[in-house]
Amino acid sequence: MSTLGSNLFLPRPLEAWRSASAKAREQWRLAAFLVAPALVLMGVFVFYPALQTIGLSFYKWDGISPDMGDFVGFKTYARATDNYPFSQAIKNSLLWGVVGLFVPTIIGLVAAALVEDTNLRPKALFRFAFFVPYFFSMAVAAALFTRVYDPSYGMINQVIHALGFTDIKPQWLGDGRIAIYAAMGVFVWHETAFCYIVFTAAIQQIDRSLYDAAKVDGASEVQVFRYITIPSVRDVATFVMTIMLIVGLTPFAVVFPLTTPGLGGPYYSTEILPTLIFKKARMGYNASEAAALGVILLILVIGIVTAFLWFRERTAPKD
Amino acid sequence: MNTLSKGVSRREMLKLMGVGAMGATLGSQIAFAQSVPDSGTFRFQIESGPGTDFVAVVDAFIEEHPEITVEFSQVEAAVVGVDWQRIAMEAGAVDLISNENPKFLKLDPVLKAGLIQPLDGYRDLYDWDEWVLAAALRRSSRGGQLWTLPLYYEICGASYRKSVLESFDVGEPQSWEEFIAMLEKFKAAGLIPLTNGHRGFSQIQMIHYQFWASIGGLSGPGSITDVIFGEGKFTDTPSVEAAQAILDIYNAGLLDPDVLSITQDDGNERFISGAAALNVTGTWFYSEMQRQFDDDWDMLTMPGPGGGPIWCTGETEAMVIPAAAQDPDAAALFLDFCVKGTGAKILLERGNLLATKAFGELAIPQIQRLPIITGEESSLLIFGWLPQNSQDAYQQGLGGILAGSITPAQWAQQVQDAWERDIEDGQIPEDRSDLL
Amino acid sequence: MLSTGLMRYALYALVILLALPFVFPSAWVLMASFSTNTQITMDSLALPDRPYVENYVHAWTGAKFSTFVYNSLAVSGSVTLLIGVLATMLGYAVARLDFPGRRLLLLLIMMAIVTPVFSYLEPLTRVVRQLGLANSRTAVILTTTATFLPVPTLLMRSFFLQLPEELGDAGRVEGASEWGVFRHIMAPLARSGVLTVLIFAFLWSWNDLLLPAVFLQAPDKYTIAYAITTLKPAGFRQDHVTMFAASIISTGPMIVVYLLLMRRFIAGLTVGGLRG
Repeated sequence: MSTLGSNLFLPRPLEAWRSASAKAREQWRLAAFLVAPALVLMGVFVFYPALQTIGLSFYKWDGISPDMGDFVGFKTYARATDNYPFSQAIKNSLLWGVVGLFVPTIIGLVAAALVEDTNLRPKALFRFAFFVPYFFSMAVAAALFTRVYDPSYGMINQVIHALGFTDIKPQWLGDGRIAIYAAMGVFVWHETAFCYIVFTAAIQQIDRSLYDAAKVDGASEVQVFRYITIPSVRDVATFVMTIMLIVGLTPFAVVFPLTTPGLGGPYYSTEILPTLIFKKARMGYNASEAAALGVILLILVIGIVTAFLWFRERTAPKD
Repeated sequence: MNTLSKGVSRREMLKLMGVGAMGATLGSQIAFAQSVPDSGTFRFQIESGPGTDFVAVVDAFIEEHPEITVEFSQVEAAVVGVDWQRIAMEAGAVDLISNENPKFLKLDPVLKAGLIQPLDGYRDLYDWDEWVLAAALRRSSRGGQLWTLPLYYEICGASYRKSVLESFDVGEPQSWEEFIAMLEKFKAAGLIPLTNGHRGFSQIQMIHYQFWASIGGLSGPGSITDVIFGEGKFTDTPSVEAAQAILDIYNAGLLDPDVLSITQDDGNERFISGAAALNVTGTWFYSEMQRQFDDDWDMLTMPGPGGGPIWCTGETEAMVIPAAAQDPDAAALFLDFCVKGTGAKILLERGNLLATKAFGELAIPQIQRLPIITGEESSLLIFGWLPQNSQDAYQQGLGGILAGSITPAQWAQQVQDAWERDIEDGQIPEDRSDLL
Repeated sequence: MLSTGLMRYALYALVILLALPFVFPSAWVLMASFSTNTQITMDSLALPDRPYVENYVHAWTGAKFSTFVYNSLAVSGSVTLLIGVLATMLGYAVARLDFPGRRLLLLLIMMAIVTPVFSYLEPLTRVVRQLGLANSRTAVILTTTATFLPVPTLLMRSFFLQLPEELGDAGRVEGASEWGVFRHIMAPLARSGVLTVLIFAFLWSWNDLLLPAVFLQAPDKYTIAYAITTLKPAGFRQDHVTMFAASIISTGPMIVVYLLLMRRFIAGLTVGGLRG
């Protein structure tokens, strides 16, 4: 048995059980009781279907026929990836991941610092203001933004018009060059609130004496933000950024209401991997291709999140 | 029991028809003898849109057939996909279900999966050949057997107000030139000449069908029919020219400049409010127009360059009886009620374009003039024929043309590639000539 | 600090400018929800001539949003409770109990976090169908709980890790069983963490679209978020006001959570969870 194996798995369960103390056995029993329900639930609804996906991706199955079809190896992957919608989906997903990682997090952090680290009043009002988008669920926000973005009566174009720019009438959701940014706009609008509230919590926990000391040393507000606030919320930032990265790589709840049911339009400009998967599996009969795309999405998310966490770990200050 | 006196067993029948192994397996699941039931219960599901019409039909059925119990439920299937029918059929939860349309995307997968049973026994029992339009039956058949019964037809076109056309002194255009001249007049008067929604489900596709039918004709090389059932390709000239024609009217400001941003509902709104003169839609919009404008409305079909006006029609509300149905006889009795009984009458009065010949004289004038009633020939409305890859390429690509991302020729190539891929994937029957 | 005089005004301006994009669309929706469809189509920035409260009445009764709110509360409530219980149990086990396979379990939980539901959507629907749960709220509750569980579990783990080990040992010395240590000593101490997890679970499940969209076919079972995104216009005409009113209604429970619990949520988030 390798070291890894003996750490992760129990090499000789019976022997270990016999040699364990009564106290240890009691802990094991309790652990089994505490772990079992959650593990069963996740096993049935997460791990089992996830493993099935990997298997399915190597077969040619339409999702409805009684038999699974032929084993075709990586052919399904070739089919699922050799087209324009797929390259668009990858491009958009990556772009969206980057936006998710930085934009709502930075705005949320700056806003939280502005409200918490200054003597602006009333704080409760500002906190409420930045959290307002989160009262709507992401999908509802996106559904509302179909109205906000409407070319004629939509809020944005009406404001542009009211400001006197009567010739400017962007087709927010109809112009392939800007539709993806319009969609990301909804995402940022909504998710910033989440980042904001978590950062607010983190900043409130920072030891106030640090600020007082900086004040005595004559540090500017920007310097305080840079040298006290940011380092103090580092772990929270990692947590928030990880969540935003995962959500940002799968923003289905935004794209679905904005472009439904001709998902991912106009001309694939808002295509993301989840919309492709949804179309293959739910609007047609291409279960195997959906599975292959699912595996690709899985690898993408695991890869990017792991890389991000590794990077954060590596660049962590040593204390 | 009024059992059908058919000498051949189901299995033998299938063999005779040469359906092969798949059909035989299916046939073995079906041991019922089709008959007019004197009692029974059947469970019926339909999507909520047309379902509202069926509330009245079900009520009338219960009144006429108190011996039969109906468990009726409506399902909201408009937004997400193909799943609910599949689930209901698999679970044996229904005896009758609306499978939307009798086409490749809908019928062939559930047929391949063995989820439905053939209706030929009932077809003979109730003499549906006499009542249901032949083309509708043909297109609902595979391997010589009838698998679904479409109750409606749908026809796409451009709706208009009679009074508006009169005020501009124009009639329904008979040529491309007349059509363009008419749009120009609307534009000059400050109206949106032709509105249409692309976001969501793209109805630009409906413009394309009409232009294509007009340019390519009803059959023969270059026609829609030839692509779906014959040797034709989406890259054939009429199809590409039709796409080019859409781009031309868009660039000339004759198609709603917001078309890519708005949905069909926005388009309807623009038409109903009077901001737009023409609205691309279809018979499914008839009841609303009747409600809004009384008799001051009608629908025309738009001619493409070099062609005359040709209507595009397709079957819909195709009913299937699942293989796992518990009381198919009662379900079939209800179907017949909708083919030639009071059900047909109720559906007709509510502005539906029936696929049956019953009560045709009761239809409103706007329905009376449509090809299904007049017997005039029409082209295929192919939405629903196309499986997911082709449909996605078709819809997204038409938007891509207007946005300048691709040319009409590139669009046609992409749709053709997707179509061939769907054929290769087994989403479309290899031999489609017998459906025509 | 330097927030004096001019600087102070500049700060106010900055914060208001930053908050504007977040507040303005919401305010617009709120205003439009009291307007009419015609008014919105004509000039959507103008105030309606009177507040059309009937939009809300229609959304609540005519468009059946009372049903959808009930469904959402039932689904989110169940998910929240389940996650609260399961995350506490699982979190305690991986934090405080020594048992074989613990590291593997932790690894599995981490894997589950980075495994998007989309990647296994089709097999998941098969599992649900095989269990006979198709078109049921139960399917949504169980799948949502299973897929959301990992993050709250890790939060609870951090919480338990922060509690001093000596407390448990003291209990053991006094003869408490392992179960007693968990149930009567550790779990009560983690109360603020549990609250944080409950709020997280509620926010996220209230927000979810995908699982209701996949598992609910019958309209009378829709959750509110899904109902709003699939809201059909009345008779082919756009019905903005009903949708706006329904959206505002949907914010109700979230606002309640915010006003009543957000302070404790913030406190809970920082006391334990995220600093470990």
